[in-house]
Amino acid sequence: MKRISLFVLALLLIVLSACGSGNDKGDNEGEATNDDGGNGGTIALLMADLGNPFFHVLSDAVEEQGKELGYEVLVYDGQNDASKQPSQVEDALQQGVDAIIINPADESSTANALKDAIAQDIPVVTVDREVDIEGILSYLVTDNTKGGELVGKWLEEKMPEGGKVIHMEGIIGTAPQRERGGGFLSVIDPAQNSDSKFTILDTAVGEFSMAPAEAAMSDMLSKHDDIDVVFAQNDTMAVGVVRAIETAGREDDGILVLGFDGAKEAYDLIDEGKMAATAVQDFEFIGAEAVNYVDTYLKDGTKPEEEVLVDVFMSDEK
Amino acid sequence: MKKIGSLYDKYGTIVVLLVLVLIVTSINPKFMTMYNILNVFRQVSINGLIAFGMTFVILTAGIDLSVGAILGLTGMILGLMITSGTPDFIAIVAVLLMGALLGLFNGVLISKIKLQAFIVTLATMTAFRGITMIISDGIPAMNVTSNAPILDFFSQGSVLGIPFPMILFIASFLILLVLLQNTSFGRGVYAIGGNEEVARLSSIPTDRIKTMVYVISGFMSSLAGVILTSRLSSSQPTAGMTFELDAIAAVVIGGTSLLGGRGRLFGTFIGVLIIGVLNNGLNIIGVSAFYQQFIKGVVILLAVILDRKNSQ
Repeated sequence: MKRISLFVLALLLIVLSACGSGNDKGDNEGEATNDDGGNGGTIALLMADLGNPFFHVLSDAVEEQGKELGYEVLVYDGQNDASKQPSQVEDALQQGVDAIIINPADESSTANALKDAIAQDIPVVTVDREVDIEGILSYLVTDNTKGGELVGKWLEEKMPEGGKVIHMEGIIGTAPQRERGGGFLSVIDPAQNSDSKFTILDTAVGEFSMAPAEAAMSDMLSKHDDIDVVFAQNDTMAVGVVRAIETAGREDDGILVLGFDGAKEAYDLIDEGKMAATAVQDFEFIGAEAVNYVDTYLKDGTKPEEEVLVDVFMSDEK
Repeated sequence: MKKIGSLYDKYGTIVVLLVLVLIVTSINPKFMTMYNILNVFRQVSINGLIAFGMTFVILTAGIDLSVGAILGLTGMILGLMITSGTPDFIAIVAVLLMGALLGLFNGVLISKIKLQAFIVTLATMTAFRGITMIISDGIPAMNVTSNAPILDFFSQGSVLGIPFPMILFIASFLILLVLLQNTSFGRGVYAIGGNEEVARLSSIPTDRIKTMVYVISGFMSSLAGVILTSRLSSSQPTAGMTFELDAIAAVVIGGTSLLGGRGRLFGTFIGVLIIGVLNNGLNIIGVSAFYQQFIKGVVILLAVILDRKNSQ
């Protein structure tokens, strides 16, 4: 038995390594990778969680712009586990990459690993979330607070007479949860804005994912029969909210569902008239811009702004 | 005194459930509306099915950490099959069989190759989740039920006003109860958990029974996966993550010993309802998210302490 499992293990490793080098060839297209900066260099892209389909927009944008400017892009997936990313940074450094673009899983886990990169004068750009260290080339992020405010203002315009609101929050304590919620409440919550004609009926937690949001929303539907609006802090939760309304057979209540991100599922639901609008994060811009920063720095040492806040825009296009 | 003690032993968890229901109802009577009660049953059905399978595993002194990953993998395959045009009935039967096969894989490794259940199912949990990511490319399948009326029925359907997930929950409970209480297989499950060596010497087919409990667990997980996919009308590659913990919690709250050999399926039934009423009730009362987690933890501890006291 032992011998068989050793054999299987060896076989597996051989097959996997063959797969790996096959991929490399595909990406390189036969080009030499071993030069310092400029065209033909390598960028490591470390994504926190490619399990969330929306983040593929960001990684695709980086890969596309990288190809455009002649870089090979190595993509790492942190699988939503903050403890995985530090070793992925180390792997990338081992590979001798020329630049790192990272979408960190949290503010601190990768700090030490990234310090090594900075010490080797490898430019580091963080996207969508900050890492708390000195020497980062740039930090590109959606202005979540402003985005939350924008949702609030859009709602005020849409329902000037006001209404009763359920606030579906993401993972408590994360930056997008605090900022999106904070921005939204600063406009809609009468406790913070005395001009608001809205009332916050209830706050529920959907953990930025579909199943918990669906369950929490079905509880809200049990509890309240006068809901006018649900603001979900991301689109995945908004999809769960819409599904809960359908399951409860309450489509005729005319509940306005608002999301955040600009994910494909949200556009589909807006098309079908089941969702009102979503606040779109411009991930295509953020991804491409991150590559541009790296490119200019490697070419002539020009540094971009240290922190770049990117605006969101509302979309209710059908 | 002894009699009261044994009564309490039998009905202790029901008391916890009733007290919970009373507290929640007295704070917000909306909890007790028919609408919300059906809502609770619809919500608990998923954890319930997994926890029933888990009860069999734990009774043999085993553990199955791969239930959430099996739910995720079979749910994903279900979504991919249906969105690529497979008739929903065939797809459902296929993934249910597959859930049983994944369980069989666990069971054979544990019973024939004598590996520890914790390690085997920890490994398969990771591997099954990996396969889910590979086949889905990390992207969910959406609008799965729009052209799949049978699958849609699994969460949206009802018979005589009773939601179909609730019917599945209660029907599986009754079927598995008979299997556990009234068959030689069920007696074997208890015997293995009590003392596997003695069971083997009494010519109980221990290997076959140990394999079977993982098959049941895998099958129930995939059935839960069908309900969840139907509920969300979508297959999420991350679906079912940490579901093993809720299932184990329900089994333990229900009074089944993690050491095996002692416990009842009815206890798990009540345990599942306690977790469900907590989740729903705290939302209905409007307890803030910070307190919710704390209260859940305390109630689980209390239920287990009560149970431990009774059994001593």
